[in-house]
Amino acid sequence: MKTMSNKITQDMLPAFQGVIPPTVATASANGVPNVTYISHVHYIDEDHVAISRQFFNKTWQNMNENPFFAVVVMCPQTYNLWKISLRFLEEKTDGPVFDDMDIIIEAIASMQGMQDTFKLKSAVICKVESIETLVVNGKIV
Amino acid sequence: MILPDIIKQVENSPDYVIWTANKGKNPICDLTRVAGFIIHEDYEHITFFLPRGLFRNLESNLSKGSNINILFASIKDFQSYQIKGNYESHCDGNEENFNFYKGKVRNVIDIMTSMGLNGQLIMGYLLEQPSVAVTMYCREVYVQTPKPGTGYKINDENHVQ
Amino acid sequence: MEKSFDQLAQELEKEKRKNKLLHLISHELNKLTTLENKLNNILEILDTSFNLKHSIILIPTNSNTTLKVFASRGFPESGIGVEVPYDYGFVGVVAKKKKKVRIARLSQYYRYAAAIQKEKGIEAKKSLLPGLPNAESQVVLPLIANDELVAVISFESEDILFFHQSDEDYLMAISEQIALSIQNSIVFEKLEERVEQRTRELERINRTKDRLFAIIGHDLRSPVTALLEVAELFKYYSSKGEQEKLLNLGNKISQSAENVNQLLDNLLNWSLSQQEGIRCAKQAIAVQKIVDETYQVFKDSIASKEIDFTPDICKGASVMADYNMLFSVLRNVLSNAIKFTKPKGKIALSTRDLPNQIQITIKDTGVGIDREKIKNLFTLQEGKSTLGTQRERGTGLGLVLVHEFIKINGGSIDIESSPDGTSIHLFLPKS
Repeated sequence: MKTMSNKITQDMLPAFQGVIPPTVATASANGVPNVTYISHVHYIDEDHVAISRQFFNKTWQNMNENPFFAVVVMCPQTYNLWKISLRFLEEKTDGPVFDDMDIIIEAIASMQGMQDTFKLKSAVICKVESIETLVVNGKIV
Repeated sequence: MILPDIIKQVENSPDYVIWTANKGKNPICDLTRVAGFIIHEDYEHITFFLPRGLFRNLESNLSKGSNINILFASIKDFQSYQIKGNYESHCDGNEENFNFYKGKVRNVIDIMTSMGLNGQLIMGYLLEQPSVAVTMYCREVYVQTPKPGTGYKINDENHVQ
Repeated sequence: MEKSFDQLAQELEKEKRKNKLLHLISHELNKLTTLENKLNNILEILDTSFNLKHSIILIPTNSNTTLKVFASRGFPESGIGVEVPYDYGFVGVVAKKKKKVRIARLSQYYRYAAAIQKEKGIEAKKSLLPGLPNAESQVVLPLIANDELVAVISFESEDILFFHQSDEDYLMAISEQIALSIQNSIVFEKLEERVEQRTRELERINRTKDRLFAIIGHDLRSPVTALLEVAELFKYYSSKGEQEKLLNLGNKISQSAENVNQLLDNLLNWSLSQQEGIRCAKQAIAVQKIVDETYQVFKDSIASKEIDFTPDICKGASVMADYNMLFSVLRNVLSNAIKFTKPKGKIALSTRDLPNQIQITIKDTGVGIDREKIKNLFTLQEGKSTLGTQRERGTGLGLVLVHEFIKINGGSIDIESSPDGTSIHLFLPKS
């Protein structure tokens, strides 16, 4: 039986550490899906997450046409799998969420002297609409 | 379109994980893991396999010609490709299908284990039975490897546009 | 979700280890030991108890713009002493923002960066800090005590997910304790440094005082003894009614008294300058005027040695200096020139107008100063004084004072000497 909720729970938090890249599926206004990997889904609170916008173009285009999309995250400790339905709210280029997401990129850029080229474009803030547990303890739910 | 050579290479590589996504009337896409795939002889169609438990996520969105995508990603070097296509049909998976893809799933499990991850927990459920075989027509192929300018199309002559 | 007995047992074991670690760390932090030892011991404890095998501690330098590696463990090159800017790498960013960071799957980020480098034709740079070649996980924590960044500590691992949230939380919990202890060690070391510095300073002052007393004891004795001798001679010649000889004694009395006076004067001034009690009240001083006044003090001595004293001062030459100090300087310099010039010799006093200074030169045709002695002219040493051409005595204190006073007035002094004579050049700010 599928487990549904609309809030991120404590046991899900390791999934937002960026260990296992999440998969995101968006759709254009006319219903054409697009699926790709993203580097990181950043936990803000039980109702919100942020996605780091670095390389994706079509995904970003789709988000602006159709703000509803799905992301699948995996816990690197238990390997449980969740599909999170999200709604794009806004993008941030400063503030505490952006800073937290940018810190890793900023650090690597500074070591390589790439501060102008390697940077986070924005933090894409999203609302959690629903969460579906797909796999628990290695078994399909 | 005729599938480019790179997809043929992916078919033969042991280190790719596969996802599929489709969309119905619900504004949100559905996506799920896939156990394996095979390219048809016409090089325009593929059939992919997944446990019925995961197929449920996609089933309600399917109708003849509806949009369906498939994503391949290497767990070794992050090379990644997406096929955008159209659903044609599906049927129950059989033993022959299972024997085809179980080796591939086990390969990926082994690679993940060698990387310090619990491959069995991550991928083992893909071998659950019964399974479903879904056939799709391949319309477009894109490079999705994470890097600047990613998302470009590969054309019929295997050239990147 | 209910936890199994095994899971609970594991958690309990983990908590026990953490408590033990806390106890070990507390014990270590309370030890009175050098900063270097403390940091290395902390890393060792974290390694043996927490399996944190690759770690590094950096401390902000005095400038607060760089971080310096003070301790490291588990790397092929220790990197001790390496300095990096405040915003360099993970440690720099953590130091700048005072925020912890935990990274998993580092290789992913490096791969992205490499892709951009390839596209832009940017050459990859080698890290300045020691690190694992294939690091995948890293935790970097700021160690903050009393709102001050005391140090940055970084841990690395080649495992994809080595550090969990609970590890990070635990390390943060003990980080404040570590920070306080490091801060105390730094303060303690700075205090020790200051104590050593003060001790050296006090020893120097003590030595100076001892030297001064020795010099005074030695050099004050002569003019006083001379006065006593003159007093005896006075009594004798007076009893014999030898008027002419009595008159001659007057000069000797005057000379001895002047020597004592000058010595006491110099002594007082030097003492004040050492205690920082002397005040420098600068004013515009006409060089001609002060030279004339100085000459008045020594005109009899100059006459008695038949020295040709020729002042040649630029018209309107004026310096910005403290009057009494400059007077003392000229008296001492002229006194030396007279002392070391043979009878019928020459002393020339001239000035030169420089862009921001006036140069006053006193050039004599005296016996000159040994090159070796020139080096120590401005330092206070026993046995430094040299007898003049007529066995005049001095303390060596005079030129020490000259040097001090010229410096206080923003000037400088230069000496040239040969067996044919000595030139002393005084450079003072123009008024």
